[in-house]
Amino acid sequence: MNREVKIKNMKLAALNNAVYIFGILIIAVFSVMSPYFFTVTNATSILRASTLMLSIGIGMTFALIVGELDLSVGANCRFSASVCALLMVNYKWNPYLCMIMMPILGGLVGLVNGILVTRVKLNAWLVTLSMKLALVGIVVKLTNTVAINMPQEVLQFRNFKIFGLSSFIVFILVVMLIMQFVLKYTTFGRKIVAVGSNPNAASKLGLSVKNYKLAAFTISGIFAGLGGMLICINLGSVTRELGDGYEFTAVAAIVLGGVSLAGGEGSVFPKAFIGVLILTMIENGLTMIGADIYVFQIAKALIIFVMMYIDSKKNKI
Amino acid sequence: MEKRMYFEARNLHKYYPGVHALNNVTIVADKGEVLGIIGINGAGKSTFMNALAGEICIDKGTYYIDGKETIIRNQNDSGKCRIALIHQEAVVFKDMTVAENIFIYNLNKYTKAGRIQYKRLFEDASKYLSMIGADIDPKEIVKNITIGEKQMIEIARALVRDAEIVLFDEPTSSLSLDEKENLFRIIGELKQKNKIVMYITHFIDEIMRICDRTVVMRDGCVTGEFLNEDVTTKELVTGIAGQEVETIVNATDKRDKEIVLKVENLNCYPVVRNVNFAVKKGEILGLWGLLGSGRTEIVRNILALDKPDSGIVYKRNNKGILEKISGHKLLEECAYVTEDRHLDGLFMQMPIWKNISMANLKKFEHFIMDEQKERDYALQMINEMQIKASDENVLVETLSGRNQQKVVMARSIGKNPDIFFIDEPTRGVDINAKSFIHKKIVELAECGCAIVMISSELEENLNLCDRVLIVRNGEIVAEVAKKDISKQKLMDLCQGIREEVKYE
Repeated sequence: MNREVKIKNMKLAALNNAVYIFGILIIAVFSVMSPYFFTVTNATSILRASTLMLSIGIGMTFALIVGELDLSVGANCRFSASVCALLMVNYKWNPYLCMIMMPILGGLVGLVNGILVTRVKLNAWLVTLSMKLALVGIVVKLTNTVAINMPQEVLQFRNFKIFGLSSFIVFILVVMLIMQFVLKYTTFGRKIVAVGSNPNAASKLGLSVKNYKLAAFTISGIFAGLGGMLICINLGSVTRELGDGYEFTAVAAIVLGGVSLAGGEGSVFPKAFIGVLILTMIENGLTMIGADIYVFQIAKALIIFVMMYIDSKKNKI
Repeated sequence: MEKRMYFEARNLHKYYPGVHALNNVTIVADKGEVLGIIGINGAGKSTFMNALAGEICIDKGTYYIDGKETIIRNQNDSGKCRIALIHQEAVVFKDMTVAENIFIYNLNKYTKAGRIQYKRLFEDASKYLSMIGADIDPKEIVKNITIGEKQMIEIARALVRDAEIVLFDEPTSSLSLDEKENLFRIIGELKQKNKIVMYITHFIDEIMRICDRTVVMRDGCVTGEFLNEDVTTKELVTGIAGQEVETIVNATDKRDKEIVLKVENLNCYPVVRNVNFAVKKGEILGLWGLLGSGRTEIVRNILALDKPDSGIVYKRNNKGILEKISGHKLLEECAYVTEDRHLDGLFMQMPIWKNISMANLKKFEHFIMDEQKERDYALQMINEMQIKASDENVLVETLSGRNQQKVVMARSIGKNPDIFFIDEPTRGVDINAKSFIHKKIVELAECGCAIVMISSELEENLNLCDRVLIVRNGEIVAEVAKKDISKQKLMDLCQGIREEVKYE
């Protein structure tokens, strides 16, 4: 009996840590295939490339944990960034104010999503999907799909370095740790998890399920807007591709990292972070070895399939 | 060589992480036999049933059916062996008709040129339904019929598949009295038809009534086998529990205590009608009524989980004065154990310690959550409630029913409530755990906690309650004091056979 139980436990342990094993495997494979992959410079550029997805992923983690899906994050990111950038460039508003306004504007969009879902009681998928369409429409109307270039005040954050990393990278990493802290060590975070895990039970304990869902949507929106801010600093312009399809890429990344689609399970760090990192690493590595651009999508899809398969195995054992 | 029985399961083993769920289980049965399988939660009886039904796959062991070695790996194999499982909660498609549900495996036989021939389907459905004496319209949509009728669908489905072995998994747990009687009659008929019936339950009286032979399971092993003619209830109880079980009775008198909760004129048409009552400190008040009488809804309305049309709730505050209180506030201050721990009791994918501390997070918060304190507290509760788990990190979903119920209780007790609403404190829980939970409830009451208890079990009301309020059609129709409580009286009152003085 003991031997069989031991084997089962070992399998379970391996499956539980599959994402880490997988990450190491990817690093190993790309390092062998390209001499430039396993370098400090490349590590920095992977981190830099992951900031947008990480920001959106942090917000999305909260939405998924509370048991909802926010499909408007990509459009929200573009919307917040574009509106504030227009105010900054065309109407000469204070650039610093405009940057702070991006996450706030994103948060407002999230709040509207939340109100529509929890108070008007509409289906979250449809609400956020139509929100996405509306936001994209507004942005196209306002900008005529012309890219907006950032002034020097914004770009300076990119050149300001902390420990050799651009300040905005350090900023999002710190924010990530703070959000993980909020999720794990505050009553607010604990209650968010409880609501996602079993909303019926949570309501019987006197928790307001509606309000925690509302909060989760708002957080999701704030981080979409924050992602817009980061991309403004990183790329120096708001382009028309910004945030396109990011709702699904972000979901794929954090689910890959181990955040449950069913709600109630997940963390910002390490789970969401690892997922985002792995997905970015794959893109980076494929570029390094000069793979066909179309292979990217297929590779990403395959990897997500494999990870989901492993996840389903875990539940069956 | 000994004579082979029609069905034999020999030396079955099943391992779950940390548990040996089936340990060398051998169970045999012959045609025309009703075999009872009894044991406490976690004894392995459900695992055995699920293995037979192909819902899980055993790790070791062999089945012989009709003398042939057979492998059951999934539901299809099980169906081929002509085994049918009647689930505790009927598995039905609630938006389809009764007839479609009955013939769900054979719908293609009723299809002509790609279309289902409904006329023939309905005719055959009523044929099978009348065979088991069920008076259901085959055209009815399943979501409109009762739980008992849904069960009839599953039984009819088993007949359609011509099952030789029919498994019943605690079928009576949510049935009314009439439905229960009807079920027993059908089981009798199945026996007449020379089928094998295996009946899982933890109610001894049911076993004594309908089974020919009884297998007792404990901790994954078969610990006893009795022919029902030569076994007494007491022997069975001892066999199931592994020891003698004490009956807990609440004996203290609480007539002089002050009122802590008062409900006035509570209405939520049509399920709750003009409800007035008060609970005293340290009193255990029973709400007794049939399923669907509105007893659960009364509590839900008091706690504003449903929106009452009218009604005022008063609670005794720190100064000893009855004060008006809102449902939400009351829900925060009191403890509420719901009837279905899976649906709205526990956070299944969370560890025990998080479940236990969830009701009073504030207590563990010193600017941030003090995780160590939470864990220590959980360990203390695990000890106090005798929860069987290796440590506080065990996920609640892996616990057996009785331990899950104890976690629910532990969480609520930890809140130190002065009012405690308990809906079905011991549903799906074995006799040992039941006795333990009863003890805890009485202890709580002795410490001055007012308890409002809803229970479908007569014994529970008889032994624990200081007063019982009878609920019928959402109204409180009578009040029975402790000295007057008797089985017959409670039964009669809730069905409206006997009229008592109207509750003032």
